[in-house]
Amino acid sequence: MSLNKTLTAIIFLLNSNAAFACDELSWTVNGKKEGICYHKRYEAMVSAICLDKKCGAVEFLKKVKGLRLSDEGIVQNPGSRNCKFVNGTVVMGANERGSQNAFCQAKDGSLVDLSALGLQAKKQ
Amino acid sequence: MCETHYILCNKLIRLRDEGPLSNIRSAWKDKVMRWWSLLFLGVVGTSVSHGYGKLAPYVDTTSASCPEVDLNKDKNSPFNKIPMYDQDGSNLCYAYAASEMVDYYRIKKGDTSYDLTNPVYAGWATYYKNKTIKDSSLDDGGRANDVIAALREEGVCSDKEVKQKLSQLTSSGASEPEILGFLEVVYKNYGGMFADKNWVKTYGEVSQRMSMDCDRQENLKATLEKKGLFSVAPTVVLSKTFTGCKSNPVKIPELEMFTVGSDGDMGKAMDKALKGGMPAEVNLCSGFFDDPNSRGLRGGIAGMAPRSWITNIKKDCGSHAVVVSGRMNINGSCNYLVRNSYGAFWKPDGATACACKTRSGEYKQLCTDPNEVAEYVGCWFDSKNLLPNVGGVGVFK
Repeated sequence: MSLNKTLTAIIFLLNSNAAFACDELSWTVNGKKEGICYHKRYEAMVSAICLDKKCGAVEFLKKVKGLRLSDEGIVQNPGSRNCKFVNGTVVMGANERGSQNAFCQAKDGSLVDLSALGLQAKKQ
Repeated sequence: MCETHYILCNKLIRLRDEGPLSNIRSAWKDKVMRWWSLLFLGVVGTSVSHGYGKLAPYVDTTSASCPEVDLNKDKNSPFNKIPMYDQDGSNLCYAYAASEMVDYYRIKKGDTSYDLTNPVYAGWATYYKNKTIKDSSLDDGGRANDVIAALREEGVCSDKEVKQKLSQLTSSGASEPEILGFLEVVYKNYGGMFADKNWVKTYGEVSQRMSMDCDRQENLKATLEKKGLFSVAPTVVLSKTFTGCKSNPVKIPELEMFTVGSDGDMGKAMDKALKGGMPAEVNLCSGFFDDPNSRGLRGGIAGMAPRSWITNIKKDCGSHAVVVSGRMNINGSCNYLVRNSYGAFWKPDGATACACKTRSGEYKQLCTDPNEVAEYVGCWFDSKNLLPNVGGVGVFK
């Protein structure tokens, strides 16, 4: 590979990473600090690690797309049902202000916002 | 989704549509619920007409005339001290909405006697105090005005104390609403009048309802057994768990409920609260959160009957309780700011826009860049979509 092509590839990679760069929000889940970022493609808050590499949380978002579980007669949070469908675990997080948010956690520990999972399921 | 008092109506509708239930226990329970519901609706219809008569003539808020009120805007707003809640898989929306109303009022009036009103504790206290005949559940829905009445009478343990008391249980990995839900299902299957003590069935119900996996359930079960809280009545859980906590008086007025009248009357009730510098507690059908065209109420109710009357609620209403904390004209339409208990990242498709706390800690009414958001504190909904879904509005007297 010529020097020019190598440099172009490096610049491209740096730019790609820059596009995914995220100023993480700190959330505590089960006593552990977790970095949370916005995933533009899926319009969801996910573990920061999911912006750099493949993770279970983003796989969940792919899996539930268009799932449209019926809400009729169901009184629980629809996000919980989607999380259960993808074999995830619902966990509660808290931020510095004490605000709460439920996440769906994958086996690799990655997280996705539960309400975003519900919205994704409603998309075609 | 969560249940306000409409849940009783939903149960009736299911009973009517599905015909006789095969399970005698369920049929018996539903029958009791049915009579209590009818009795309850009668009471609501009577009490509400009193509040309805007090309202001034309605000003059309769907027009450009929609003066801005935003209770979050002031840097000393009590909402800055109240976190965004997530009711998780519980049906305690009414207790979350009531707790936020209570804390907003207290903080605004300078009451520093305790930190915050824990919503799960508030639900417990209401059940303990208010129901003459205790059925197997406190998570089957309720009314924010009952919560406020119970807290006024009973007082409340501080949020810090409640969290401390529940910390041994939450260390199993379960959230506060999950613990409550778990206790409920266990009691229903083990400790209730018709309990058959079937752990597999119980496990299945908890899994379906809360997505709690086997390990977490077993951990929680073991902890509860150790503390004598497994399969005991909610009243026993309450007394055993919170023994010794300091009961703080809750100095707040009662909620006046407006549940009769037109869509515009519901807007008028919300405006009344906002004009007085207080939020409004709103019972609604939640389908429009994601689909602006959703109408959970049939709209055929007129005169003195409550909007949440059994025949006026559609099966897919998605009964819910929220707090309304602002009003603003956005693109020529009057919008109300809904503060929900679905977590800090709740931003539904049906909202015009959402308000947030930015990463720098500032309040912003319209947050368009998700990367600047630390947490959403409410979403704006067009009154044209919100008001037809409102079943009732609670305003501090």
